Amino acid sequence: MDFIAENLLTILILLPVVGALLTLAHQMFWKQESQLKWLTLGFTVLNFIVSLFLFFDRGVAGPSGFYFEQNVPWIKAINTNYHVGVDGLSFWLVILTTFIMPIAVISTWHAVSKRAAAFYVSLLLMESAMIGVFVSLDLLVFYLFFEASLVPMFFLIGVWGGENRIYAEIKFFIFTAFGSLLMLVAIIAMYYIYADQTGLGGSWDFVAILAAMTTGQLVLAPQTGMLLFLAFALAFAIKVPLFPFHTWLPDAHTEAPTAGSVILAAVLLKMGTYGLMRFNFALFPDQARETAWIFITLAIIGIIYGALVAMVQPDVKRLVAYSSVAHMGFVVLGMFSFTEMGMQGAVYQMLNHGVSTGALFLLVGFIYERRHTREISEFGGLANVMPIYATVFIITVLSSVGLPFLNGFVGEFLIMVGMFQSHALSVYPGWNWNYVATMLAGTGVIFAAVYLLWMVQRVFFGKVTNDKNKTLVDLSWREIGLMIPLLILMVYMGVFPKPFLKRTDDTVKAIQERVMQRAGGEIEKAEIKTEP
Amino acid sequence: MKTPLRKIPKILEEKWRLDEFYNGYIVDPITNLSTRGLWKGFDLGFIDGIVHGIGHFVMEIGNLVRGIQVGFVRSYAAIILLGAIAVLGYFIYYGLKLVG
Repeated sequence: MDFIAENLLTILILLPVVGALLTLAHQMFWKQESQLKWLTLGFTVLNFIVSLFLFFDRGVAGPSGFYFEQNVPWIKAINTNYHVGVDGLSFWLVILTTFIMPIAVISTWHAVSKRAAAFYVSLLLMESAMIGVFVSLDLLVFYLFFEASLVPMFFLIGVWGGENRIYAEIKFFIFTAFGSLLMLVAIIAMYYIYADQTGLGGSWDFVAILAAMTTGQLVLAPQTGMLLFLAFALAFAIKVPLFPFHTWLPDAHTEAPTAGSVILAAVLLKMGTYGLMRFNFALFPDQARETAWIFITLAIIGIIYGALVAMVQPDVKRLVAYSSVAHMGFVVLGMFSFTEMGMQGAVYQMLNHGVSTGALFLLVGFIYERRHTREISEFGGLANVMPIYATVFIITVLSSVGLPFLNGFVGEFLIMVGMFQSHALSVYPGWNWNYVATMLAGTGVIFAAVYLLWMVQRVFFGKVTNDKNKTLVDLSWREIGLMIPLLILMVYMGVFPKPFLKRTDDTVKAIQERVMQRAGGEIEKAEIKTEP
Repeated sequence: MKTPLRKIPKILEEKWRLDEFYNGYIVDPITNLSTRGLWKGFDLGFIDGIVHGIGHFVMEIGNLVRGIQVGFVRSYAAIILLGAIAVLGYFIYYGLKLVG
């Protein structure tokens, strides 16, 4: 037990790699493709169970505030350390990753017909890279995991994707690699600036850099800080994706196989918002405050734009993809409100989006496996032939819309309350821009109801007009079993969000304090401004 | 009671044509704007246009530069000669200026 507790995060990262190697070995020596999915499922479930240790034994938080911390020198010549740790921000994201992986594996039970070994290896390596991103506290190691997560997804889209997969995978790769390479430049710059100013030699260590910044040993010149901030922010904004860097997303989502879409929506996009909050806010608080209006504007454009474009999509999967743009806009909006509520809501909404949109992609996958089309116009009246499917689908849609007592509502509510009280825009004279921002974000919720319910109406209600739909089989037990944990979570997170919010509370407060800290150390209070 | 009181006006039967009004003045313009302006115009046209444009630009430059590298040694020699003349010319021009 001690061994697990001491090396928990390393085990979480390495277990899928071991699984991947075993999968390869199994394929090489026994050539039993049908057993590979069991092996992969076993390892993802095992990893999920191991990740639950995060609940039971929190270990002791180091002075940096991270739990389960491990810091081992890796490459001495450039002072890189394998430094991992988990805090309130990454806690749920790690569990979300390990939770969604078995679901993604089961969703492909009958779907993978070619190169099964490579498929499952990609899935497992993907899991390892994603967990690595969320727990690494060394900027270089973080970057390596951030990039490593691209490769399995590149293959998942490019080999097992739809018709237009090559275009989609190249676009996905170039977009995200472009952003992250600029981030690499910024990370290297941080290394040398740290060496220059502290006289301690260079460091990639997030905790060390942050400590040097809070004690005033390391002060960035405003212009340098802004350039570094933008380099980091661009990498993450593309990943989120924030308008106008979102056009890789609909293509990647639409072409990816179901498991790929689920992982992409549930976890991969969160790397962007996670990165913004972890690195941009903590390392460059002044720049974050200065540019908040840009991010808030882009987030709101994303919310409304994503919703309007989703509304007119003829393809269900593409519709869900554009709805992701709108939902992730909410997350960014909440983060840049710099209020505790808004930021808590943002973290919560990350989880909600993972659950709800992940579930929507699963559901779209179910119908695609049956009909091999996703065109809304091909369907109609499905509720008559597939009542269970329709029920599950509509609950998921309502959760995505943000109906009270379902998870989406809590997140969106917190974000909007947070934005309403926000001080982030009060430096700009004229109106109370925070009210305007909240109001515009609110219209996004209405549009979400419009595009999702309209799609539901066209797909599920009315008479069965297409003869091909008359013989459709309702959900199998495997598919129902897949959806049940997600449905339970939707309701649970909507009714009783406290356990989730409590875990993130301390960290979010710390980040908020850090980002509201002016250069002199004085903290800007987030108060409701009454006078315009 | 053989005759109905009065024939109900058509406009009531058509619910004051409110649905038609909404569809014509709100729903259709918004969906039109979304389809033509935002999705096909801005998303696929403008943003993807820039993205693809950068790709084409790089390929075009590659095509242009490719013409120079032909593997024909005498043409490389000619380019070197031209370069040498240009450098010499530069020094001579500014050298003369300094002197004069």
